[in-house]
Amino acid sequence: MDVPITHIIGTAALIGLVISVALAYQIIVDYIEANVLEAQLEQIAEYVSMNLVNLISLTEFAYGDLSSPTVMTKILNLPEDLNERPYLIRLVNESGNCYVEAKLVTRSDISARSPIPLNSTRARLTITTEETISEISNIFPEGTITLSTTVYGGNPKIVIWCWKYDSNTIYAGLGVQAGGT
Amino acid sequence: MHSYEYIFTAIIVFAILIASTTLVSIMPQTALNISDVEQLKMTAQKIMTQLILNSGNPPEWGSNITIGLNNLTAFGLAEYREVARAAYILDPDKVQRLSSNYVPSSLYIPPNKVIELFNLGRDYGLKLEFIPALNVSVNAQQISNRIVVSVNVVSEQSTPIVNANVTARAFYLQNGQINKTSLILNYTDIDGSCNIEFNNMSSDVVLITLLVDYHGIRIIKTHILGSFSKSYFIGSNLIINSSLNVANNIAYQVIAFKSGENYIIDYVSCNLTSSPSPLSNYNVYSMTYVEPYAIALLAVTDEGNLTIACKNVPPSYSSISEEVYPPLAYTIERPVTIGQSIYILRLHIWRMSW
Repeated sequence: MDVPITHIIGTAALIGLVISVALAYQIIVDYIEANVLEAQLEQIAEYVSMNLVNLISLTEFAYGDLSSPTVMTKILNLPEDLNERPYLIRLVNESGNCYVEAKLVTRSDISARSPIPLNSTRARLTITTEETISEISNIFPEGTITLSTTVYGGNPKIVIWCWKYDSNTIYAGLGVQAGGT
Repeated sequence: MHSYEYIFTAIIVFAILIASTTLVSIMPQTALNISDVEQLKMTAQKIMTQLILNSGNPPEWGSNITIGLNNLTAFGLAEYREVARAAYILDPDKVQRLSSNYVPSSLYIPPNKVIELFNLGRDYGLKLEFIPALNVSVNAQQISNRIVVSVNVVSEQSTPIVNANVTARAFYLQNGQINKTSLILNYTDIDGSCNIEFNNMSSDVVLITLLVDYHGIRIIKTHILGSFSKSYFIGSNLIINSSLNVANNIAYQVIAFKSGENYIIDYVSCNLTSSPSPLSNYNVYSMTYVEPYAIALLAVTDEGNLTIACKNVPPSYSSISEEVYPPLAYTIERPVTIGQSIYILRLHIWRMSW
């Protein structure tokens, strides 16, 4: 074989190899990044769910038998983004089981869930998901907190709230404090 | 350029790929492990809150023997009070129902039901440990007509507890009647030990009740000498094997508590009413009221034997039977009060898969 042809084949093969290696590297890095992001989303979902459960328990424990309505709120301290990727937090109800779901805006396939032990309460507890938010009107005065079932994680004014309507009914969910987007 | 140089270059490119992939995959592993532990920590805190602040649903599920496994819609161990609520106070009946040894099988709540009620799915496992704040060991010996009780009080770390107040009284069957000794008080020595003697009593069956108090850290312990008919004391019910009946429908509630500066260990009699039994193979007698600090129930059967039912706290409750801990687990502890005794509630939680 002529020397130039050998060079052409060799150079083309090398270029092809470099491109394949770069692609393979990108695929592997994407996979690893997805795992890391998923773990971070799981942590965020768990954090929201833990705070929601604590707030519900505290409300029920402190004001459980009062007949007058009581509202408690807590501002969540969440990261602005995950590796410069925006994410959403949502409350989901699937056949009676409630979860906090955190997912990336740009890649909805990367998401995580954390269960809310909804059953473990004496009062009738309703987590305000998309299906149930219509049951209640905005319980907060105009311009304070807006109820929501999905919030953008980068918002620094995300709150969880718990509303003890009467001695047997508690509503809980997500919201955004005034000044948030 | 020769052909072997191309091959060599290709090998170098592959080597770079393998090295960089390895580095990229190793680097986030530590962060992922920390993240996994953080998640477990938050899950553990969530479950612990549920356990110690919620009474479950129905709230009286511990004491109501008509509430079985299928009627329980929420799980929590907190004592239910209508008016004055107190944090970290657990219901002795609910705790007792976590052991198949201390309640009839149909009243036992298995761990998989608890995991289901916590909506945790199949991913998680949990173990609860009830560790007494003071570890009290009792060794009683009957010598002719007296009983010598050796008491040893140590901390969880086996450090002797010096100068702990030990109050004791024995309840025994004599001539078909339930009697009690006088109240005896003693203090532990430098080894955490002390002896207590009950004199002038001759009985085959004796219930020794101890109240150990160390600067407000209190533990109540019962110890039984001799053979007796086993029964269960749940809520306001005496549950006894269906082959036995209680004579004269009278029982004695043993109470132990501190009132002001005084320690009280005594019994009060109460009338029993035979109730329709929701439990097969058992007779159920109900009481009109139960003393708040009742720790045991004594009764004499038609055959003249003593039946004893104590409120017991299981040492542990786990979704796996063996002492096996998955590598990634998290442990959280809280001090709780069960009856008059103080315990450390330790929750181990782990995930089966990630």
